[in-house]
Amino acid sequence: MVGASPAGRVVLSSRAIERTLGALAAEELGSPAHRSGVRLHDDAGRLAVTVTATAAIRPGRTVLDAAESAQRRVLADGPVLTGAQITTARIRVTGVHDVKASRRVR
Amino acid sequence: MNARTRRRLGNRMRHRSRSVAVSIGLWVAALPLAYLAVEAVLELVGAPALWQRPLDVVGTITGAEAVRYAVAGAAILAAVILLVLAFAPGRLSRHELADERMLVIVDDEVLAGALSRAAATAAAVPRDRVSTSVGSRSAEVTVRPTSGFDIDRDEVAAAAQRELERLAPTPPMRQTVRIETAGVIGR
Amino acid sequence: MTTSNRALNRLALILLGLIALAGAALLLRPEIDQLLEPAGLVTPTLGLTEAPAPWLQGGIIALAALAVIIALAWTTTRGRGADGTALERDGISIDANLVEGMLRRHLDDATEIAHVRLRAFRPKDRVLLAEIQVTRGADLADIHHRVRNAVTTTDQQLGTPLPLVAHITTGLRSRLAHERRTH
Repeated sequence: MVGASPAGRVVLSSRAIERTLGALAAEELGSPAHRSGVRLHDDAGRLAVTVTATAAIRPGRTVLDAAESAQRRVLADGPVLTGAQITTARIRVTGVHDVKASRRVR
Repeated sequence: MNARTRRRLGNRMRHRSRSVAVSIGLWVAALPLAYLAVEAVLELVGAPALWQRPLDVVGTITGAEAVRYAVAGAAILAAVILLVLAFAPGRLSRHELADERMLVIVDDEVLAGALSRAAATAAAVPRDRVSTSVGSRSAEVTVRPTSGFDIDRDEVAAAAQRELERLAPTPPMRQTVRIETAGVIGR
Repeated sequence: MTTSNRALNRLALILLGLIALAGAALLLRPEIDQLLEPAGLVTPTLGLTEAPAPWLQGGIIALAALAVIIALAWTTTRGRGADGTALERDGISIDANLVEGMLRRHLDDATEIAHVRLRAFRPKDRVLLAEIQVTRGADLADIHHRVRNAVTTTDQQLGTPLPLVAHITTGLRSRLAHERRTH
């Protein structure tokens, strides 16, 4: 998954970048990382990211706030963790993540 | 949602859209023309006609009396349908309920059920003995009494009125209560 | 709910109706002439059949092309209203499915509500249509109250009020659901 470039710089595979960014956004939205989907687009040589995920309903935290946090997190921590230059992060919230139901499953 | 948007949406929800009728009408008009155009192109390039050359098609229709009357009749019928659709109000059986946060549209069937419910409670009869028909500006509540027990019509009317005031439907409606003379033996 | 302009729909129907009437009148020319003759009136001649063939053919083709283009344009632009997005701004979009899930949750204990469905439209601005199917003879004022509370809670949890239309209806589903008898 990780390959070294001739100059010694570490370049992550796109799959690894997707997983990392998906996990960042999902954490902010309070939903499991494996349920999130990430699509990477080229933006003039840099990365444009679209994350699709569900959101948990939590007291004191609105869905919009959570989505904005997820967006900021991808833009701020994404480059640090993946080394990729990220220009835009789009967050699409597709549904309610049922916390109780997923606990029952585990 | 501002007042204008609300009014526009309210009207939309309470009236039938004519766009399907327009689509059908446009295609009914366009397809015969398209056929004639195909024949015209074939004639221009000197190819054999699918059926007849454009002018001959017109000749066939106007030539035979029966065909001419049939086509003219169909056109008049279409015109009447189109004009009635255009000028009829196209109102759906729905009302708007007063609400500050959002637009609330309710089917008249639900409104009738609510009035029946209120009337049944006031008249102390089972719900299935009350029927209500709701029009755009009026509601008629009919109650079938239990034999041997009088129903105070005014009391039932007051209950129906209270329910209407509580719901505040638009367009506003007036209620009338009718107590049937024949009763039903109570259980 | 569709995106098409309703005044335009009306106008289109009137125009189509008049065209149909005109067509009928052309076909019934002999009869109309007969009717008008005693009154000393003469119908104008259009000279259609006397026109040279290429002119006529060109006219038919142009007219048909115009009619097909208008019909196509009309059919493809109408009813494009529903798309699944409830809210979209600054790179964040919320699916109607999420709002539907929230509303359903908040209306879960309302026994007289059989089903809740939410669709997002954009007739001009974005509008959400919540279809609330109730059982027959439901307490409408109570349902209205519950829906209002559910929407208020949804607003709070979402973080913004959405332009909402609540349509309280008796659908097929609620007709099948048996009524709870209280008497």
